[in-house]
Amino acid sequence: MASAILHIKDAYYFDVPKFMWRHDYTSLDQVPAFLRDRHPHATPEEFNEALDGKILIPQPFGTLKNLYEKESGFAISKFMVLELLVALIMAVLFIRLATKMRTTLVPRGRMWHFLEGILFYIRDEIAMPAIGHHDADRFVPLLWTMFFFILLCNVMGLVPWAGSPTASFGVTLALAAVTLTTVLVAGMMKFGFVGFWLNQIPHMELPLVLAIFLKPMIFVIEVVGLVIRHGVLAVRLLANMMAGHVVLLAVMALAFSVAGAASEKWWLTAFISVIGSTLLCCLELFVAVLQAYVFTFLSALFIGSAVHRH
Amino acid sequence: MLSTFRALILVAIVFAWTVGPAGVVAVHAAEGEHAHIGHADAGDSIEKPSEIKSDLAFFTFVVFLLLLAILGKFAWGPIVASLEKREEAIAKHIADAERMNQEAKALLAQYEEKLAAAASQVREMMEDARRDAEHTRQTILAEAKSGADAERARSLREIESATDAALETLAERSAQLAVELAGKILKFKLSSDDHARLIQEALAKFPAAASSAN
Repeated sequence: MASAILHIKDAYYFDVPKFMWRHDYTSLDQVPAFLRDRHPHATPEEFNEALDGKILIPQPFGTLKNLYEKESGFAISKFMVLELLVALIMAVLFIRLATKMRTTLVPRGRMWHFLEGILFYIRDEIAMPAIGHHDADRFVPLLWTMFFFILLCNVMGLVPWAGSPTASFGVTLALAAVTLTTVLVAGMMKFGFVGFWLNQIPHMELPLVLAIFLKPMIFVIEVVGLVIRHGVLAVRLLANMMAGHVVLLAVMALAFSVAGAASEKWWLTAFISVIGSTLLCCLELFVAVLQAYVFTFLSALFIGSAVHRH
Repeated sequence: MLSTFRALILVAIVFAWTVGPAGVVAVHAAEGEHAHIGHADAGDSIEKPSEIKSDLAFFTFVVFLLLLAILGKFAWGPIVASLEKREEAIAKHIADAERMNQEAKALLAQYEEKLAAAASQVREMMEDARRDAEHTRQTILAEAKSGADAERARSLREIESATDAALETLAERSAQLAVELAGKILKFKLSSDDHARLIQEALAKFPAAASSAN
């Protein structure tokens, strides 16, 4: 049974209104093999009807099980395409900004001032206080990339027929893994391998006997805490993006749930649904920016605590 | 802003009107019939939000690192360099402005000094002029005074000599009258020599009497 949540999750096709993308399968040979194999009794017309409005992504490196799961190999999904799009947008924007900044002392134009303002904010208000003036400069590019990548991925969820890659656990975990890797590498480069792990134990004035007993336990707690902290980073972003989309979906589903009801009920519900989803989209936009900020800020804090002695 | 919002609402209403309940029912009916196409052999986690797709995670990690590398080389590096250049330029501008301000202040002080010197010079000149004027006035006054004094003295002298002449005439006349009167009385007793001698004696006495009376 089709579940509404499939509209939020990653898939191997882009969902657009049916009239925008028609399939004209005349024989079963034209239908993708994985669909044909799973539905041996369906006619080409049935496939056409079911697949209208679904832009299937070509899969040169893998095979699919269904539209949401792969069978084998490496399958290219909607979110991967969107991530590439985000990366492309970022590359175009910031390389242009860099070119402009190189040629003129202060580039003119609202767009460039806007981008510069955000870059300045991340450097001066996030990186500097969280990591410290001495070390911040090395990590500022990472935080810049992180903020804009997450922000644009979040905002993609508000673009019609696109979707939010950050509403997928794989993506948020990968991003948290970037932070964790940075914390480990930066910490070990600063204090050495052993020094980094010893640095996890907070400094305490303990009698030797107690120290032998307590410090290993504290070490275990701190290391587990380190992993959990980064895991929570992923879960927080995922939950925020997912929850926003689920609520939006639920409000939109109100209209569908009364489909076929008496006209005045339909109109009332549709009205509520349209107004509600508009307002929720505004909220989503705010959450998209907020969560990008929170992720970046917490990453900066974790990096800061890794490169400073406790 | 508000008009855009209104337009959006209008579009939504028109859309709802044209597609209408019938369209929604049709879509739903189609979904219902063929809902299973595309979801065959669905795994347990297909509807779980927490499903982890390793392909996607790996892809994200790689894309992010590549993006970081590319932007680091072509965007962040030049941007940081430009920012540093800008900061230096701004610091230089501030330093320049400060230096110029100092110079301007020094110049101002210099000019103020000059102005003060000029003012005191002017004051001195005025003082001199005033002194000169005073001197000239005094001179003119003194000259006028001495002129007036001389004139007065001359007048006095003239008056005196006129008085003397008048007194002389008067004495001569009165002596003559006295002599004539006495001659009438003594008609014959006095010769004309006696007469003249008497007049001479009287005249010799007169000036002494006149000056003592004066």
